[in-house]
Amino acid sequence: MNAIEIKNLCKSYPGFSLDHLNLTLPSGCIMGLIGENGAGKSTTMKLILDIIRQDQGTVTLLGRDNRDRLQLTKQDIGVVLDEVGICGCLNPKQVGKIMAHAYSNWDSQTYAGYLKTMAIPENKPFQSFSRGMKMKLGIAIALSHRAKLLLLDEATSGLDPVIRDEILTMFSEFTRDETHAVLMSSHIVSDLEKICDYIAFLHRGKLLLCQEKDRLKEEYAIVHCTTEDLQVISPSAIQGVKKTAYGVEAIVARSAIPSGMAISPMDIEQLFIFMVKEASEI
Amino acid sequence: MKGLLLKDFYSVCKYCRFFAIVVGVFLIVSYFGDGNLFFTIYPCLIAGMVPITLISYEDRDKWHIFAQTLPFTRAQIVSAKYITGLCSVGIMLLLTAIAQTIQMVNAQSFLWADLGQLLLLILSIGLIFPAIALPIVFQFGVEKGRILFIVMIAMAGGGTAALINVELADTFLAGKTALVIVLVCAGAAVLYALSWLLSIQLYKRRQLR
Repeated sequence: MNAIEIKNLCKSYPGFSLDHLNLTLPSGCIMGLIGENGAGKSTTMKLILDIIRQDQGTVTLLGRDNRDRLQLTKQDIGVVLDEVGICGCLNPKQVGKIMAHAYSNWDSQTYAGYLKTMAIPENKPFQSFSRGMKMKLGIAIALSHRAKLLLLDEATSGLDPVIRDEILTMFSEFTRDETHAVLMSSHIVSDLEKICDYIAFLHRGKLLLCQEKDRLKEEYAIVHCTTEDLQVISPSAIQGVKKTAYGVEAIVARSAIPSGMAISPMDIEQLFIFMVKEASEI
Repeated sequence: MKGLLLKDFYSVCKYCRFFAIVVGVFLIVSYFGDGNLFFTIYPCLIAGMVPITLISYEDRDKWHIFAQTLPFTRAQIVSAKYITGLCSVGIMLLLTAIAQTIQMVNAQSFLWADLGQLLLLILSIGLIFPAIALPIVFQFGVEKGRILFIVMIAMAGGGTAALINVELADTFLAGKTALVIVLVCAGAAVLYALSWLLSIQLYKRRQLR
């Protein structure tokens, strides 16, 4: 089963429009939604959760339309937003009691375990927490009600590398169960590259690409050559070009690269930057 | 829904401590005062403001977005605020009833009819103000709702002063207009119920950013 199916999703604001977004996240996978600020990542998350109304299209979550009794589907969804959103006066102990009344599958022992593992003080008010601590609490909540799908909107931004690594490990462990899935948006591409099975690029409300991460890395490479040499390669195989003082660098489908041309492996961040620049120039 | 009410309870305990002090002072002043209705009515007005105060803090903390990620409907989110409002007005009404009963007994002027009419009048005011302000808050956000509420309180203060000046308050307490008070209270209850339904419809359509 697919955890998320998004078809032709559209949403327009003054100055921004999400344009016919199509995404499918299979269960058992982690998808990274990459985009610069204002690309439409948070809008997509809010549309998935029906926090804002879509103009057009459909969103299916765990096999059910997101406009059909979403509160029931949310029992199986854990969400961590950029600003978490817990009231500043509440402490983790109180939050646990509130969530026990909200989620039918709330597991107090699991929650207590996460608080202990992540060294989150039970009786300190949320407003006194550091950003990292706030995020950890948001993640503890999302993981304590046997969710099948995690939606994470910039859940690792602003965290120090050690905490980020801990949290990414948790998400990886979460998807060991094949009925679980994670959709994670971030502009920290290296985080997503570490754990994601699928990568989706959003740029100015348009989906530039959505593919398996390993396939992307297998299919593309960076070519280092002169402008003249690049003209030998079919333009359809070129994803992006950057001019440097020494010539050009281009992300090109490996199958179209002539033998003998200097290439280096490509990482997802490079692909994203090349593609966004290419798309911006069009 | 229980989770939302529990959250509101924790928030009231934390954020409304100052209200409790103000209410205590007003109840004491109304006890020792010369029958000035303003001091008797004002605690219930404050109690009516509690849901709006909570929504204000929630907006600041982005709870209104987070709540949308929890397994609650928008109708439940709105209803929690109306129930919290009813509870706070109810508790305030009970405290006012106790204070007024003690004062009337001490002054050897206790009459069930007088007490009943006074409490109905206070209940009406405690319901009418949030009934008007909450749909605006759920539609436009807390800032516009709060401005309207402040304007209404100022008008209520002026109105109360005018009532006292023309000695209409005494006429009310004398029970000559008991029927009017009962009708006003029934009207306030109906208004509160309609406001509740309206807020649910408005909040269902609201786009939260």
